[in-house]
Amino acid sequence: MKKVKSFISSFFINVPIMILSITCIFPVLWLLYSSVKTDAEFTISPSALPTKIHFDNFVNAFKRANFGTFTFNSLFNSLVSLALVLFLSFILGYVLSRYRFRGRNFIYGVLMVSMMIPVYALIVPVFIQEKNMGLLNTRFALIPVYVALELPTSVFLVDGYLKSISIDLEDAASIDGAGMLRTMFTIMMPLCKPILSTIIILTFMHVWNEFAFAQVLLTDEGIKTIPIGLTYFTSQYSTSYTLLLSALAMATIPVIVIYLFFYNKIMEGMMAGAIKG
Amino acid sequence: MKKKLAAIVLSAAMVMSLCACGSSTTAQSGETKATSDAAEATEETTETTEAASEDTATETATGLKGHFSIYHFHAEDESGTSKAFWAAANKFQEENPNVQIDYIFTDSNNYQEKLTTYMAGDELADVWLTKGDMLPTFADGGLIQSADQYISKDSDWSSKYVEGAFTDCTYDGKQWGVPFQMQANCIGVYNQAIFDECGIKGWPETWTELLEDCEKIKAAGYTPIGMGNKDQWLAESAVFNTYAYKYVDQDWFNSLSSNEGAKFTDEKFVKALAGFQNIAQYFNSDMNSIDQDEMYSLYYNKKCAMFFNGAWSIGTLLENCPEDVLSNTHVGLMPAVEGESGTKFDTAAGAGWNYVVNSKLEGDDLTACLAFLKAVTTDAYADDALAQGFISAAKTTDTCDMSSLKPLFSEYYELASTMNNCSIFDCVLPSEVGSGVLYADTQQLIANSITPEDMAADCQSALEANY
Repeated sequence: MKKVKSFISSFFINVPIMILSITCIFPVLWLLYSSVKTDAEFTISPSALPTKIHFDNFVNAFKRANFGTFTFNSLFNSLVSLALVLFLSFILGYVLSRYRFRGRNFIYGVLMVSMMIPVYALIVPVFIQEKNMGLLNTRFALIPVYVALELPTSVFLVDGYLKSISIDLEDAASIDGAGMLRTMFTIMMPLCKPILSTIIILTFMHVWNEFAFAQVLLTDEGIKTIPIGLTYFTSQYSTSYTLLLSALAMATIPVIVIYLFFYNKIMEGMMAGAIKG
Repeated sequence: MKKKLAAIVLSAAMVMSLCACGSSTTAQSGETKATSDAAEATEETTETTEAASEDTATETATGLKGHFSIYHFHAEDESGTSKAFWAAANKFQEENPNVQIDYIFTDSNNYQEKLTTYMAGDELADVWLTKGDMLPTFADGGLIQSADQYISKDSDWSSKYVEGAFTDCTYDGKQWGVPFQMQANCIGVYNQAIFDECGIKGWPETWTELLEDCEKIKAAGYTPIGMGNKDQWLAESAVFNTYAYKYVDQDWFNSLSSNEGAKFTDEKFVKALAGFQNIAQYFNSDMNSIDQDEMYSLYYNKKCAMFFNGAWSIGTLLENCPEDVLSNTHVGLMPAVEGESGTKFDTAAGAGWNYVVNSKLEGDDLTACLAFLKAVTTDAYADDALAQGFISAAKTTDTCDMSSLKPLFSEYYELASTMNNCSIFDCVLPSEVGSGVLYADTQQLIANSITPEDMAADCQSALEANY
């Protein structure tokens, strides 16, 4: 009787959740099966299944959007920005959360303000600034912008996370003779793995998908990024949806890989903390 | 203290080297890939330049030399005018190996936004594409030089364009741009099979007939007129604009745009708005939440009997329309309204976009650039564009093979020759009005959430603020 009861209760809880999950997975499935249809099929019925699988859409999309070059450029921008953001945000976050010094509130204020300005209001000023600095249309044009955009959120994340960790650990390290840098990098940094993983996921995702600045600051085909490539399927009077969807499917892969890999790290970090606690 | 300092310096060096390792690893790991990819990219971007230099020995060089950049939205693998543009541009480069051209491409959706940023940052290319609504900004700011001073000197060049090609790029008495296309912004596309099924003989000649036909189609369970106005431009630019010319004329519009007496609030324009609001009852109910492509989808699935849209829809139909629908598809001119001055031939049409030349360009670079613009807008380009299903702003050559045109396009081509081309509102009026208030209010008008009188007053006040 008990078994039947628990089966019924779990049935009524799990089935609605499963149905909800299907609604979440449907857009992804739709993206995948629509990417192998022809344009004519797609325009007649966007939701129907393909009658014949056209894998050549992927090949065409790859060629048309310069996917090889653009993927390399996107990876380059994402990884360099990520390294800088991780390094700078950890140091800044650590110093801001652990030290009281003159100007600390000012730094908080500046970071806060920079989060509040809408990105589109920055495009023209950044364009002019980069032009004057000679960075416009170079391989490094986007990196300072991405680091500046991602830094405030990351600093606040590190700062908030460190505040939740007791200072006793650092006191103990200090008594054992560890200096500031050693405490920071060898004791506190490993503890911050979960939040650093979160930063990796967020930063990578934002930088990988960033369009507005990439669109304006780059003109050379050799240094453009994936989101720009995705616009190559829209012409003055028509859009090639199936090629666009194939390109989108390809463009999503790195983000999913990074997410799946570091999502586990977040969980691992949390678990490790729980056991220690 | 010294120890601390040394520690800081050392760890900074270590971290930097780690970062450097990271990036160099990335660079290295991607290097081989990058090399092959770069080769591919270079192939695509500077294809023309390379091809040109290879052919140096064989080609008969024209003696032209120079270097200029062009900012455009012609995707290389596209059909239509883009394909014709690249064919002409590549040919020009082959014939002129000493001319170096930097192509700066952005897709048409994001084109204008990037252009505005270039303008703000004083980084405009030597040649770019612009619509008439931005001409005053460029011309008054001294950013462009008028094209007519060069075209009029070269009779061989000036004689190649069709009549009215320069209307959209005329401002302050000068023709500032070089047009490359000539499109009707509104044609009626209908499915004869559905018309037959509803007992309709053919395309209506008058507006009353159209309304009667719509009733019959509605009674048969079809949507009479497809409309996809999610992006706001379709209802205004591709339908209402031409409908308005059934009530007002080109002189009225000239007077309106140059603030010489005509007003949006004039009775005949308000009447046009009211008439348009009335026809909206025959559009699909989700007209403001679907876009142009979804509207085509309604037509392909035989859910709507007809739609009005620009001539560009013919190219799309030829490419994507199912054969059974396409074989029954025909085109017609928007019928005239009885008792009003306009005829069915009055159609909003024009070049829309034009190439303009930077005022800083001079000497050999300017000469090379003008020769290039002539090559990519006339002669073989015109023939090629026609073969792709687009009418260019230039006359076709005698060698153009008209028999190869697809039947639907031939039908349109014949209609186009009868049209009385009138200015496209959003190509001439300031963008705040033409593609701002006018678009937004038309969307509300067809949804019945604004009255014709209020819309006219709203447009007028916006126009007055932007004269």
